[in-house]
Amino acid sequence: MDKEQFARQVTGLQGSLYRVAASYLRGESDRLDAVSEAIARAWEKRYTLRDETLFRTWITRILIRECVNIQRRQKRSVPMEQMPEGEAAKEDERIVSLREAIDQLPQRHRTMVVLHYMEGCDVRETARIMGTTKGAVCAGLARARAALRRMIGEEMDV
Amino acid sequence: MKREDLMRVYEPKEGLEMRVKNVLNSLEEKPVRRMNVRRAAALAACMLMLVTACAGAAGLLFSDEYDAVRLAHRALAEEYGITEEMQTYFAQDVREENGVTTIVFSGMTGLHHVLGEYTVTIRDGDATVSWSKDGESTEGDLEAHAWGARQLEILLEMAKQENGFSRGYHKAQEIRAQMDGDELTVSITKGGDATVVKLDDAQIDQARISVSEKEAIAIAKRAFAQEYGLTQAQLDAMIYEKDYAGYTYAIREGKTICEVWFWLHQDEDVVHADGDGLYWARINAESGVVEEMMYDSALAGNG
Repeated sequence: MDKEQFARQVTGLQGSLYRVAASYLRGESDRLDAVSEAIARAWEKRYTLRDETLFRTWITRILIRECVNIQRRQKRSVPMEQMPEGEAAKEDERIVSLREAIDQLPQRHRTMVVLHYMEGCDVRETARIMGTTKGAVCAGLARARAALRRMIGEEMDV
Repeated sequence: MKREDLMRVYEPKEGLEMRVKNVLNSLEEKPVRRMNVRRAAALAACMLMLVTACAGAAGLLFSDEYDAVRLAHRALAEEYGITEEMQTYFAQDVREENGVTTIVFSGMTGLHHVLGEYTVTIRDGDATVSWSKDGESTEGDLEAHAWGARQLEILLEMAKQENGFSRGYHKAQEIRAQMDGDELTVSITKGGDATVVKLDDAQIDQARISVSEKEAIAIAKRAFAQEYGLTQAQLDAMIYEKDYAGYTYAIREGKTICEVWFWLHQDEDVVHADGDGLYWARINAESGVVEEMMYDSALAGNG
């Protein structure tokens, strides 16, 4: 894969990568750092990508590892609940409460929700990205849906 | 709730596009360096591993440390013909400093004087390997004072017979008597200096654990299949050793981890069949990342 092809693929996926990073990291700069680092690492390791149709799966896995590394460095010193004030005030109240609910999900379930419901990854791809089984993804999504239903009283109709 | 609402939950801010553009502009199109393969047999083994990995469980996540260990094992196989099965004769120590990872494989106590130490240095994804016995003769099977891959092959073959390991060990002691210096004692425990705080059931409930024990077992087995080429029949034959290290969940270096151990002994009538031994994986209990894993053929008598 040459640089131009790589850049095209990454540019098309940047929003998706950001949302996955956001499912792991609270701070805006951490999210951007994770995405940047993942892109740089993916470029370095591009020769390990055996099937270019799996580019999204592959780079998202690299990104998740970067997010985990950043979390590890922080040792979760910034709790998920601490969001910069002012950011939330500008937003639709409904989106804010939805975010608060999603933020309260366990890490893995939150990422499953992002990948499956936001990014449109099917259960198989979600499982591949997260290094788990389809059964675990189905179970995780069911638990996430139930938790969100409890918290915001709404069903997922996506 | 609708997808468009969900998409707004983690909406990218304005800085993303510029940041991505900057990163892409900074990428250099330098050629990728690959290691030279000296041994055709080692190459064949690596190809087999690659094919197994492709056909097997995709999607596993490994820690940077494990990636480095894997690269080190490949480098050892390619440069010196040291296979996974032979790793049972070595203790492994991983150190990382300033972006350089150094992995030392020390020959076990009682054999250290003949096996020596292999040092793998990984910098920018490239591995260089050296052996403390580089330059010494390995001619003459177990008569040699430096035991490389050829001698380890002989040791493995002997160990697969009843009480075979002790014969190789005694041979090493005969050589020891001809050499100067004290024997080095090498701990076979890997990474044993980290503080591990065991989590009891109540603490497990409170911890942010999203990987159940069952899931950890599944992840570990997929990793074993991918990394060591185990078949489904071998995976099914594995015996799960719960709390083998005295715990399943623990906090280690600030991370919540789940450790799973397995024994594989496929045929009661055979001392050692291919793939038999001890398997272990340390899974990050929050993210599902495989932090570390190990196969020990247990042919060095440490099983």
